[in-house]
Amino acid sequence: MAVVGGFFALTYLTGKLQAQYNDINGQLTQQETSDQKTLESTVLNYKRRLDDFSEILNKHAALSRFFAAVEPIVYPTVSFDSMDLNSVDKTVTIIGKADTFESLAKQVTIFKNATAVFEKIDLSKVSLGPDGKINFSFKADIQPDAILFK
Amino acid sequence: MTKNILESFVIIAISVAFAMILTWPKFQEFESQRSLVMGKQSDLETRNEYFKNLQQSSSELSNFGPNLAKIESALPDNPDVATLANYLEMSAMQGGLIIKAADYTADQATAAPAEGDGQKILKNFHIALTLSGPYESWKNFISSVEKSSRMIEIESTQISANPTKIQTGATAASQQATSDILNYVVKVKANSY
Repeated sequence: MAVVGGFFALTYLTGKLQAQYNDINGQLTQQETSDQKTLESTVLNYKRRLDDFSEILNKHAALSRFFAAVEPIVYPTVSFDSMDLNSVDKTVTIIGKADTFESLAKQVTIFKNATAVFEKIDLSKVSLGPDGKINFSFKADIQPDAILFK
Repeated sequence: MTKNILESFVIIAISVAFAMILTWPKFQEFESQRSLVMGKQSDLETRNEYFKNLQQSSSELSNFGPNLAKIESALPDNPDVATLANYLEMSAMQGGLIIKAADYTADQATAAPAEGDGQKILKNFHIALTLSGPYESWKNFISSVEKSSRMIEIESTQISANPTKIQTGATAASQQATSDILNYVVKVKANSY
């Protein structure tokens, strides 16, 4: 008797669970309304935009800071003919002229001592020009912080 | 007497075994169904919680309207290259620089729409400008660009002095003026969705 009762009880409960399952499944399907999809898309897009903005802002370069830092440390008898500055590679190539080898040596020393601006300086070319001036060219790695927007 | 007890014991054992054989599959079915319902219930709760959080986030975001507008201005939905080019031109001209050339390119790697998940993908585009003018004007220009609400990135810049032009009859003053004018090639990057 108890076995028969248990059997029918289990059958009844299983049926009830099946109905409950169908009900929940229906709710899960119903939930994806267009309003909710719009809400989801809006919030996720804002999140994406905030993440992108934060990443870009943290890397935002301010080359004006580099110029402001270099101007005061240019030796008086040294002049630059060209400057290639790359904020992505964080490198600068400078081509210029110095009155004497001594001026050039002093300029290089000043730049090497400016560790807050330059990481590494490679003097790649030095030659005596027809005008008696020293032509030079060097490539330097810039300290990332020196061109970071603040 | 002992035989009767043994028989009863055997009958009870057989009955229990029979009961188990009869109800066990039904019990298994019940357990399986219960497990399915619990899984779905958990999915429903997770989903409800997810949308509740989304709703909450949406409410919180609406409190930051002005700041969000600034971020939207920095990373707009549309590249709006013409407006950006106009801004660059006006900034250069106001500072006293002359624009000699401008070139626009979109990053091929990110320019293709890839919005499979419905989320916007950030695209890059570049504008290369060739400018000419005094160094002070140049500094004002890049300072303005760096602080622009459009979040313009100066990727590279080349500065070069004008080649010395010795012209017959040129005065010292005009030679000085010529040497103060530098040439600039600047490559900027901006983003949009």
